[in-house]
Amino acid sequence: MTDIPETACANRLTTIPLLLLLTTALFTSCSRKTDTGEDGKVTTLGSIEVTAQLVEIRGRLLNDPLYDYAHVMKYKVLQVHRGNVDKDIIYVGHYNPAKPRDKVADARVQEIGGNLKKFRAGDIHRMALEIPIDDYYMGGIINKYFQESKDPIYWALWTNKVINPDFPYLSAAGGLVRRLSGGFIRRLPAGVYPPFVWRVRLADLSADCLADLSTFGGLR
Amino acid sequence: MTDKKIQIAFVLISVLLSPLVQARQNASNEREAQLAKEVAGKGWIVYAARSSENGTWDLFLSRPDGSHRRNITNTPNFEEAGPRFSPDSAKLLYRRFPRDTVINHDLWGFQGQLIIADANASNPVVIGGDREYPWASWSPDGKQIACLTKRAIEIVDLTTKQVIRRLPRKGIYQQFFWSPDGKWFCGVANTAVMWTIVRMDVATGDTNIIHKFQSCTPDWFPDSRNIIYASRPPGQPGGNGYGFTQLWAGDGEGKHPRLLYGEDGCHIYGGALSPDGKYVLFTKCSEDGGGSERSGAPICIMRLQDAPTIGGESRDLRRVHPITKDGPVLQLVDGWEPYWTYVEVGAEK
Repeated sequence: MTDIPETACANRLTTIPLLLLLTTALFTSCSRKTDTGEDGKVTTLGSIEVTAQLVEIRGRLLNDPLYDYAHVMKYKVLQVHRGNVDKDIIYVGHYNPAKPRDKVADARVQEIGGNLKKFRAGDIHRMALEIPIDDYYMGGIINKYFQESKDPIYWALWTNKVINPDFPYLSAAGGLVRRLSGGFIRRLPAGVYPPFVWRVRLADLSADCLADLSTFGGLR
Repeated sequence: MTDKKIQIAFVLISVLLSPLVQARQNASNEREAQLAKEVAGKGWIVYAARSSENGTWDLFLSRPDGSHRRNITNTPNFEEAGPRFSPDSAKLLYRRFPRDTVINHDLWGFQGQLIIADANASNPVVIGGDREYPWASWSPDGKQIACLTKRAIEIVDLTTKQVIRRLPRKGIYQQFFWSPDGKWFCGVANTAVMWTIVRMDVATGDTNIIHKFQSCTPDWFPDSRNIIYASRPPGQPGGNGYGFTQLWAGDGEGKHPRLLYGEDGCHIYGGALSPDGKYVLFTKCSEDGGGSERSGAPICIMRLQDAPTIGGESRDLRRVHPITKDGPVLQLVDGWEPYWTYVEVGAEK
């Protein structure tokens, strides 16, 4: 169990709503399972394989059916499975990122895919990569890091989502929070955006607001 | 005013204005007829177009006024596109695709097989397999081609098919052409931003920017000093803020960009110069992309000396470019990627 970060938005809740909340939370908060993102493609394609956290998506993801492009995103490398990666922060070009990875292959880029449906900052991805991007992809590249980094750009061949049940939430104070950290997590009703959840502390029945990193980008 | 009075007023105004409208239309027709007469004897244009005989994309030759049009490939089992005469106009280079291939306006140089035939498309020779020799472009002597591959720019000897030189492509990714004097390449590249027109020094491999952002389909003026390209400037209100692609030119140093032709509601692509640099060829499409995925778009010809010309009402574009010459524009049949020679390649045998 980790330390509970201090919260800026702790609120007292009344007993009855809290009991209702806790009852619901017990049925909903423990359903997610670990997925390392490993599969036959990500472990074999390309010369590099990493698990990395998507730190930032700079710029808007275009979805223009007439034009294809790669969008460069910033990652923090968590684990290198294959190949050599000598930096913690890498820049990865994803092809037509507005499309789910299993629908992105086309006439221009054929051997590409994965199970990731949507790119969101804070998510963790397992990726098969090549470097530099120009040796593997010919097309428009949106690179909003052009001015600040001259590092070679990686090219993402296969991108799977990693589900890490240990630290899926971000507190208002900026700390990562375990799934079960001495309290209960309760998701707000569907349609509330951005997707915050409530953590209820058993010790003093207070609640604080967390951002669910699996559905909302928080680590910038 | 009653409805009846309004109707009468409307009819009267229409009657009064109709001679003026008619006179203006006649004058326009007269100017276009004069341009047609002027270019009719100036060699031949070649272009891809949908064949009425077999429904596929074939190659066509016609006089620049649109006369003497004839299908020079007529291949029901193939689609053909991207024709380019060799510098001496003895040969014709193009790409051939299996029937029913959708010709992508950005990918066509990577697609299909490279074919080199006589200038009238007779005696076609398959140079390579599917996707080989991408974006092949003639050298000045016609003995080599430059190709744009993922790994490098490759200069290939056509006799031996050996790669005789490789250069880093420096972010160039499509629409790649060798200058008539052999000293430069131009293409579309990722530099600071994508869709940037660049020029590359063939000797050193150094590049310089011609025009940044939302620009493509560059091609050389006959003098090898200027480049014609399509560009969609940002900030246009038309097309729900998407804007419309216009035809521009700039010098090889990236200076003095100038509008050649634009028209609100139309996307202008396929810009090419006549061999003497006096006339401009282009296509005018209501949808972005130039129409290669469907049936092309009207091929147009204007005089370079009439640039800038703005077509139609084009209120937004005229606001940005208030001083224009608005010369005549000759509109031919639907086609795609036209190219011009003054050599008599189209004479029927």
